[in-house]
Amino acid sequence: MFWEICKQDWKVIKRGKLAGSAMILLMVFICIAGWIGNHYADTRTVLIEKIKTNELFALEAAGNLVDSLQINNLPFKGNSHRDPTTANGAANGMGARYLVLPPSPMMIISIGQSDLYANYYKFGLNKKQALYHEAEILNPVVVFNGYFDLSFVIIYILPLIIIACSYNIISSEKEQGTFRLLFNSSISPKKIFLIKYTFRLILLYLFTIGLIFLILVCSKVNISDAAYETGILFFEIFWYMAFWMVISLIINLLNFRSGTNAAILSGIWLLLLTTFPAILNIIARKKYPMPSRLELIAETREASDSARNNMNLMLSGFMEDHPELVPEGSKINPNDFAVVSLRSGLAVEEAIRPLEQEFSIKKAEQEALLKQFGILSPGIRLQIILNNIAGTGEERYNAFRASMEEEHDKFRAYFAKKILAGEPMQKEDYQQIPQPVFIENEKNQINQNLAFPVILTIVCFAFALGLFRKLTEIAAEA
Amino acid sequence: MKKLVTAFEFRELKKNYRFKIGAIITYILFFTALYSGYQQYVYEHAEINKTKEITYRQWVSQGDKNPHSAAHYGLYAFKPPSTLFIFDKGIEDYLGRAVWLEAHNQNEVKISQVKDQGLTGKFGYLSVSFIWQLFIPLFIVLLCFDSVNKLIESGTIKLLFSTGLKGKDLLWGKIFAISKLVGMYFLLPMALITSLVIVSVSPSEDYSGLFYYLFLIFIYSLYFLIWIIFSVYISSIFKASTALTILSGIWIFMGFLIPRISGTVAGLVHPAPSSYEFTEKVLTEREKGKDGTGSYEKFQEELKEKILKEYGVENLEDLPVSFAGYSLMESENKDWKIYDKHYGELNKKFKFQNFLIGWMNVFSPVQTQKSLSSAFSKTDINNHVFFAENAEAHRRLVQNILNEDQLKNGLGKERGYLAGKDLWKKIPEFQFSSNSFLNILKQQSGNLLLLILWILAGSLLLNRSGKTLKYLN
Repeated sequence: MFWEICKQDWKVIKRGKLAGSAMILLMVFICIAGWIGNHYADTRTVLIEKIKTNELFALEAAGNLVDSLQINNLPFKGNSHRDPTTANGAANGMGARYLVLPPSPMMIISIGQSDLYANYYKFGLNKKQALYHEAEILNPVVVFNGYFDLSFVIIYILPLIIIACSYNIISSEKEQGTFRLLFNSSISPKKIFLIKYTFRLILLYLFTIGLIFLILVCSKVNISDAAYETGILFFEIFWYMAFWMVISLIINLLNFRSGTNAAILSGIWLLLLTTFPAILNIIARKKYPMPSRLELIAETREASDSARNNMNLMLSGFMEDHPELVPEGSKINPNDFAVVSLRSGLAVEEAIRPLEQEFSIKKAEQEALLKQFGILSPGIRLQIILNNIAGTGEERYNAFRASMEEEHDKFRAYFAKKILAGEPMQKEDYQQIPQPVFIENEKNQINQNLAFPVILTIVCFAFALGLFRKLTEIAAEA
Repeated sequence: MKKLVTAFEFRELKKNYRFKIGAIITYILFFTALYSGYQQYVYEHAEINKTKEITYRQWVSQGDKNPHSAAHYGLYAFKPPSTLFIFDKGIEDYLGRAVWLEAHNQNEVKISQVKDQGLTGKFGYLSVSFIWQLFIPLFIVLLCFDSVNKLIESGTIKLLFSTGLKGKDLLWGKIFAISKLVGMYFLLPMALITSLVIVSVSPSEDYSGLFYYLFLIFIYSLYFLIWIIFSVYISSIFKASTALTILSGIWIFMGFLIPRISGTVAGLVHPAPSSYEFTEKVLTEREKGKDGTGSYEKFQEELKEKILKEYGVENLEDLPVSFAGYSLMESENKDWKIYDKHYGELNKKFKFQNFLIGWMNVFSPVQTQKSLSSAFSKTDINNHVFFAENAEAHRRLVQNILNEDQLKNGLGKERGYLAGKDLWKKIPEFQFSSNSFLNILKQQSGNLLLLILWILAGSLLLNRSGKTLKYLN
């Protein structure tokens, strides 16, 4: 019976132009989005390789230059701020090091937050706050419009394809006058419609994940390495599709005309995927307003002025606050430019730390709100998951920023000791500069309640089952 | 006859449940959007004014310093929000609002809102323009999709034609009725309420924001007309359910797919350099010159030769001006050329990208309208670029004033020369006034023309459909 109905429905799908065209469109969209994701992933991998190669080259060149100046007993005649023989010049010039965020294996799935945040940091002795502003150079219009990546196809286009393939499964029977015939058959209409919906869901699902799997293979994603992520991806796609199929079933059971069904479903799509997230954005800003970044400018400046004005008074305090940076028995020259810059930078950092922390707290609160209420819009939840699978989500970037803070401290400490001790840079020192490394969080990064979509879909399905009693009403009208 | 159709259709539409439900939802969203737009404007306006005042005060009271140290201390230029920000935020959340004007470096405009908001910001923002650009068209589609075909499907059209009514009059009568409904119940009341809010935040005696807004209302009228004409046209050639499916598809394609596709294609065709490559290129050229053979030492030697020749003296000590000041001025002049070249290339790439995006707007009046709306609201990329250019011009002015002071007064003391409050006060506070109406109109003339072409094309199709309408039943 099941296969008979499926076969029959397959014929209907083949006859109907809309469902067929929608599936072809889906195929085209997935292929294009896969190619785009692959292109961006490749570009980033190449760039990171380039940064690493150039970084090593610069360190070697600096070491050789210092060596040759020492052998020939020559002074450095270039810009004194970049003098490789001094610790300050080295840190801000050829001794600069990079902390890079390695591309994750499933990066092609979603561009996520990678266009907004820094994917690498260049370490120098400048104020650490400057690192916050680092990001890729991108046309804001392009970033604003968003990218046509796989996450966009899955979250926004897939529901539309489901709507196109299912908006009239019940209503068309009524409009074509075949509804009454169903009631006279030996199988209950409820079963017939359930099988039809299930068949279309499975068909679309297999079609979608088959294509995505192919894209992953073609993009040389090592599926066995990323088995967990791939499993979660396919699991989430299934329940997301099932959710939309059930919504379509509910609307069909409300006994509207096919056109009205399509309009209502488009409206639900608009409401759940664009309007609700936009309203949530307003609520998040209102409930957890960010402190002013502009005022932070003024405060940083105030702290910097005050640090410079009280420089001599601060010296003993500084030595007490940062014993780890002060080499034993060294006599600090308080008027040395590098010493003044270093101490002032540390003092500013210290002064604005509470405000910086407030930013982190507010952002975390906004993110928590998004997670909490985001479940009301399956699109938000899925976007978070797809970003996490792709390694382009907020949590990974938060971890990257935290790592930047720690690694920058190590980098600065290395040079600070030399600056405070007044030690020059030697050739071998360039090989000792700490290499910043980002250590991935081993914990489950996807970090979302996987049972939620299952429960949501089951609840909606139970509601749809309750509406099946309406079939008799529809039959009476038909 | 046309007037009768209009009057009848207008009465019918008012009774329609889709109109009532749609109106309630649209107004709820409208008030939410307007309130949040107003609040954000007030907050940002106050925030920028306050920070602007504090940072300028800090500049003036920085104490005695060498002018070049002061140049490194620098000033800030802030981009104030336009009053129409309340109506259309455009891409403001993605653009920076402040730029540090310091010696040697042309910095980028930083501090964008979206970076602090994380993923929440990426989901977009509900603004009045968002409602006008996407909700009202959807509402128009829902009102129009069965406006003509229902007459054909029910056979009523035969009766209408028997009274001597022409197909063209029927279609235009319906268009006038729907336009009247949209105008009377949505465009005008919403425009009036928004205008009052705009006037309430406008600085006294400056109502230019209102003028721009009135022009925007005119553009939005054209935009709604496009949707009405095409919805009625589709309704006249397809069955109700097919018409609704097609119109919903068009709405989604134009509103959601085209922007993603156009942005991504533009980014792929004209990729911007990475931040790493861009910075490295600029730094290398600044240090080693265009051909890579220069050096700081060589540059200083050349400067010495040049200044000695210029003043006809043999030693630096005999110069009537400060060599440090001269060197700083020349160094700035050299760097400006490098920045102009590299930022020029970058902006050219962005321009190509925006051109491509704009070209793809031909397929979507939604995108055309978005560009027009954000341009006249002064929340688009052009306004931002204009701000960045103005800020850079101000930076160069500041550097000139400071370096000239060093040149004239630093003789003998060189880097040991200290200037004070009198010099800092000579540096004017940065004031930004956006592009003029005529310039924006010139920039957007292509988009305006597109809207008109859409209306003309729709009218032609509609007139053709009007002629064949009677043969359809």
